[in-house]
Amino acid sequence: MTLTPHEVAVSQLATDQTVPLDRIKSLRFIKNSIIGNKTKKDLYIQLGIVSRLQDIISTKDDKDSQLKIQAVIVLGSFAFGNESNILALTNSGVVEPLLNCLNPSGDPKLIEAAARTLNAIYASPKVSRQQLFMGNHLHVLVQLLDTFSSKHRPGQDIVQVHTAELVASILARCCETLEQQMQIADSGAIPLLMRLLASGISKSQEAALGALAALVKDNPELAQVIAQMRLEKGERPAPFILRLVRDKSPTMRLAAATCLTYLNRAGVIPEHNSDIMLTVLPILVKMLQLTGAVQETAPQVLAHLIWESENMQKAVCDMEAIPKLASIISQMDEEDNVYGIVGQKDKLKENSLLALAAISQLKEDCRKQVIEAKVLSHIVSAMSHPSVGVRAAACQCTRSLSRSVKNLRTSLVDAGIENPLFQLLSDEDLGVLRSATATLCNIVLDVSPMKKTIMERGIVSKFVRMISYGDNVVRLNTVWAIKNLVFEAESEVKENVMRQFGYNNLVLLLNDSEPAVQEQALNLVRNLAHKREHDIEQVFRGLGNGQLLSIIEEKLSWDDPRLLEHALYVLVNIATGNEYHKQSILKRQGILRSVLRSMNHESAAIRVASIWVIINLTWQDDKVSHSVHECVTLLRSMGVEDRLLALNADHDLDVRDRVKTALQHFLMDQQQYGHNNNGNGVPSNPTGTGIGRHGHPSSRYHDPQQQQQQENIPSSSSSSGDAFGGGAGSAMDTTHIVTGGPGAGGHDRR
Amino acid sequence: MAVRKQQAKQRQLGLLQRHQQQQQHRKLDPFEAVRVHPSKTFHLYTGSRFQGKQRSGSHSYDVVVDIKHVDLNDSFLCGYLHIKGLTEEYPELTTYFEAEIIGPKHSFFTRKWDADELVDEEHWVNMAHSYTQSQTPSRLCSFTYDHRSEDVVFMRWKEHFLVPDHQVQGISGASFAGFYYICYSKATGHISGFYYHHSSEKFQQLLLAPIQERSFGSVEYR
Repeated sequence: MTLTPHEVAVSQLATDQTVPLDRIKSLRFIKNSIIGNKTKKDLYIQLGIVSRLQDIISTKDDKDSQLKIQAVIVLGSFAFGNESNILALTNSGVVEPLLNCLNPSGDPKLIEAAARTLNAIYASPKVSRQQLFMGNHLHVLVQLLDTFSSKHRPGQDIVQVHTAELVASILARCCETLEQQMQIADSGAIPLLMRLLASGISKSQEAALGALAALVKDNPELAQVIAQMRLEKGERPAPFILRLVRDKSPTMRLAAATCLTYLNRAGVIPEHNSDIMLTVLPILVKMLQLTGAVQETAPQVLAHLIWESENMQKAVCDMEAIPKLASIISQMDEEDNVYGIVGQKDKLKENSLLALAAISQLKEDCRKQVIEAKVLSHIVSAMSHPSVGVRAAACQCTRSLSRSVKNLRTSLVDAGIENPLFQLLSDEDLGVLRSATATLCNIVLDVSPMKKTIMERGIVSKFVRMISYGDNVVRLNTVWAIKNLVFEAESEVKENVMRQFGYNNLVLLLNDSEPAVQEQALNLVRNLAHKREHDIEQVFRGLGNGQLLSIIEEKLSWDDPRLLEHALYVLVNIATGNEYHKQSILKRQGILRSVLRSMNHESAAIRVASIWVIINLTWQDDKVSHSVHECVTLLRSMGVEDRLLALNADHDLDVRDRVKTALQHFLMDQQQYGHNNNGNGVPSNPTGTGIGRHGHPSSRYHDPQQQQQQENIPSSSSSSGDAFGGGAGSAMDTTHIVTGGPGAGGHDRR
Repeated sequence: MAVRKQQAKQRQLGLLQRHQQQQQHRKLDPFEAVRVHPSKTFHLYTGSRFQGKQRSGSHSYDVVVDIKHVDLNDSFLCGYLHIKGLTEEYPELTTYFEAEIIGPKHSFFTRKWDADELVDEEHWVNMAHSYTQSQTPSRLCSFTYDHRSEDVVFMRWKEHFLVPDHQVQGISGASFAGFYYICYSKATGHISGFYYHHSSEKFQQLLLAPIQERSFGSVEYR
């Protein structure tokens, strides 16, 4: 039996008798055989080399670092660029001994080699980052960023600089979660990274930018800390980084643009908005035409940067980014399977789709450009791509494009997004499920021809499963979709949806831990109780009269504008119902007080909504019925009429318009039933209730100026003459007479 | 503003400790859908309807308009226009139209759809005389009209395709190749307009009144 030289080499590593020099020779031999040779790497791993190497780097013997250094280098060679090898290394536990090799009292060359190997290992997102944050490791690592530390040995400067760059890169790769970001910040890394940033050494600067970007990404608080720091010469980091965006090296430009993007999204460098627009945006768009890693990452950074900004989306549109992205995506489809390198190309596709989603999110003009770029068929086929990232990004694209009545009625139907979308609603990946449920919200709108067909496929039966999926975003999207689906729907559709979905589930959503979900659930109630008395009755039965109004009362008391407006409109809609429906509102003092308070809300939309409640509660057809008279009397006694009179001077025309209508109802009542108790024509407010015009302590409510009130309380006789045209007589039909704007007089609204 | 800056500083100081206390480890989702709150101004909102007539010579056709989406920020709205009795083959025709709202984004000058400045002028002026006594012609041609602070909203409505089947090309006896000059009064809710197409009868008039609703649903794109 003979051994191959490889087997000999591995066996020599194990023997304790072997002279260290021979072991080093073996390691060099192995190192040279495996460089760039995947087959040899696999062979050595099968021969069990990893545990041998691990033994070597785990010895406490520090006398001869050469052996350890060579072992660490060989490990790094295995890790480089191959994820399955990386996992083979980490599964046998090399991370801990490698971290131990970073001990600052050790050989700087060993430290550098260990940092390099760790950096290669952490290139895989599948490797756990946990060990780095245990014990003293992070502290040790961060100290290595300090290239100006005391222990200067001649000739070691360059090694130290390299080590610092590698450490910055490791930190960038281990900075995914909020905890990791905060722990790294706590370890004192930020000032050292700032020094590296200002070092003037390109590679170091790039590495520092990477780590800083990872720290501020989606973390406004750390972004604020970093934006406010000073570099050595007193300069803030942002203007310094802005200069690096113009560097000659594309990787430096990308690193700088990425860092500025995250700072910008965190909203901490508003003073540089125009610099970002004029410098960073065009540079990122130009990168789309480069190749390799820069081209791959640039669209993702671009998407991140412009996601919330309409102006930037438009600017990028004007820079012809859409045809560039479209051609990347469509060319890739043509080349598909030619190269067979899955991972790399997928990321470019995913990022390009994400950039298209970002550009077309807010502006119809930009959506139009995407449709004109003939890329939609590629987007739709990407919805069935094997990569989850690509599927989710493609779905984000269709979500953006479906924010358009026109696209919903035309291009999206023609491209056939319904089938793949329906499939994605059962996807196992959370990211895909989130973007698919978001797109669904638009697909079920009444203007979408796909609404009918997707309902026939049984979308409603999926809703229950989707809300119990256990993810906040999926739950929010689901209730959003339901509320869009029942908007302006036939009673039959509403009943069908609620029969399958269940009012018990609606109650759960109305009391959800997420206010955003509550808001949508309230909007759903609003849409259910919309338009027909029968529909209102269904909601009353479904939720139970008591429960429905208790929920509304509670939401009104929250004083959250998002909830408040919908809660008020639920009342507006209920108040168009029958006597019983109205009475159930009027019985609730708490609700009426909240409505009265909302009439002074800072938001005109909420003032309008609250006045609509009054209008509908006091609505009268031919003549003021006894029950309406009782309602008017009750509201008057609470000070509603006073409040309305004060709002006659509101700066918002829509509010004033509604006020006139509401006041007319009070006037008609007065004309029919005569004056109420005070008899002097000026309605009074029995302030004993404490909810009079003194408003609310919250700053959202403003007290109408007293003086204005005085000026605008007309006597009853003048208001009947001027404001209501022919007086009560002409109003006695089904039309809803209101006074118009300047010079318009009374207008028939029907 | 000053208050905010101070708050930011305080936040910065107590930041690390507070984070540990909160243990609310949620990062922002950078790719969360940005909300597009639908605009609502007077009778212009998703779901509002108008009805009235279009007059062409001695003929008069019943028209209903459904507003489907309003985005005042983008000077945009769209909807359906239903017209009855235009042809014998189709007793009712529905088109999808988009509006350019005159304001910061769109000027009074059309510069497309075969409408030159003279055509613009005569239509806007005609409309201003008939329906908006307060507007003077010279005012109409200024570029700085801001509908948000005015009582009247001027628009151009352009029909794009038929509903429900957008692929139907052309209908004998009817055309939507032209566009409407539109004027909406916030105070009255009335819409008036003129259809313009270079080869159609001039000043075909559209007159619509809002269908008053007392009940309001709400939808929003995701």
